[in-house]
Amino acid sequence: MSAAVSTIRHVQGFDVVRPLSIGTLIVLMLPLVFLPLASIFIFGTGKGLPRFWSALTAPEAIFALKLSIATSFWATVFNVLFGLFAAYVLSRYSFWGRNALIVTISLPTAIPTAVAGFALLLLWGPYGTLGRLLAPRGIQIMFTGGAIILANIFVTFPLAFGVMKAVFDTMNHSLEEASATIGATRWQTFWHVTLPSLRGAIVTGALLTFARAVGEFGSTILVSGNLAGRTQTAPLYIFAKFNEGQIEAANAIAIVLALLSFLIFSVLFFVRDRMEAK
Amino acid sequence: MLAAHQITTFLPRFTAATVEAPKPRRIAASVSGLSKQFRNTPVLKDINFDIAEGETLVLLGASGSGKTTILRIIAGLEHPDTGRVILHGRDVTDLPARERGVGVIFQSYALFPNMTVEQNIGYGLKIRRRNRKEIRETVDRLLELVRLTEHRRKYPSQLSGGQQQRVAIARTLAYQPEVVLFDEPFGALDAQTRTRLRSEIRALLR
Repeated sequence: MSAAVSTIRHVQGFDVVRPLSIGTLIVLMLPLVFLPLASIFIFGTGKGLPRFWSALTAPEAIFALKLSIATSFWATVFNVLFGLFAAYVLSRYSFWGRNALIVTISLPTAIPTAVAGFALLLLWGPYGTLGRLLAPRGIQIMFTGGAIILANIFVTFPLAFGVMKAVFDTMNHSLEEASATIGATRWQTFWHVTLPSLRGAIVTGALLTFARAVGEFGSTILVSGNLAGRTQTAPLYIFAKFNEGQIEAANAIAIVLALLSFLIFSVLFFVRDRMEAK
Repeated sequence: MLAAHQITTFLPRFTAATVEAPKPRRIAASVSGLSKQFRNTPVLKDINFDIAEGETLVLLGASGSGKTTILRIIAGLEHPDTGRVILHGRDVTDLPARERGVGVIFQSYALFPNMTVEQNIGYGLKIRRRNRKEIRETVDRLLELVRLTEHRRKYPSQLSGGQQQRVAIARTLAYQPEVVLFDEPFGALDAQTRTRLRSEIRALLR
């Protein structure tokens, strides 16, 4: 009887939970996500597009954007290649200390980014453990573009690794075994069989890494020195201009970063959908 | 666990059923004193058998009795704790899988999902750096043999279980292995397809 009643209610159809759930979700997200994002666009373009454009094309702003994109790109290249290698080794081989290595690689997600920057300073800074050895040879890593790349690598380390390791862990090993019995070398098997299965994970890992690196602030401000036109990335530029009271300049770059993130995550969604459809 | 006496119990039945030429022939594959254990659990103990050229040997046993392990050891995907594997007079026990010249039809077929039917079949020749014309000709011939010519550009996920198995067989035959191992080749198929494929495989292997 009760089953029949519930069927009738379901078929006849006004399910009050549905609009209530959707409404609550939107109301909750409004002040937390939608309005902050909207305010960037409203204030950024509030005084007219020409003002916005001149703020955006200021030489320091252009430099900050270029530096952010370049350093994020190299950190992404490194972390995708290293993540692929690390995921392969840690997924394929069982050895003493393997779990400790996995935890260590995943650790940067849990460490505050300011601590990461501080740790890098203690190692590579002019008085750091390794920096002290390099300084007499005229090599300085901190307060350069290289330092920003190092910080980005450290902070985004687990992202590509995590995505790729999950795929390695669930991969059908009989494909690689079939390739081996057919006569393929280890490299041929990796190139023709393993790597194509990882395409989606590589793209996802790369986009996540890049998106995270472009917005990195805490570690970058410590290791870069925040020198305008030299080591100032886009997030640091926003912070600096905000402190100087130049809200329009900060806002223009904030809009670009927000749009860039939106673009990256749209591509991510598209790629994931396509991979799942396959 | 599959022990030596179980194998020998089964062998005469199958050899009697499948030997096609009565004359004495050269030994194609020989396994002697094979033992294997996984995490202190013995799976194989002193397995011995010979297979002559042209002969078909079927291993029967309950699930988990070690049939697949024997095949994996012959294919080079597992190393035995003791014993030797001899293929055409050559001791291959310590050789990697790719140097053994063995073809394996896996239970799950293990077709490469990112490759089309024709790319799957031509894979063995491609990695051996054969020229395109030769690959094309071999693939065409095998596609005709397994009656999948019209499906050549499809991906494995677009094929039925029986079709996938025929691709797996064609992929193995393409590089002409000296020994072909089938690991429960009909496990995932319905009874009708199973009966049809059994006679098809016999015909193909001739």
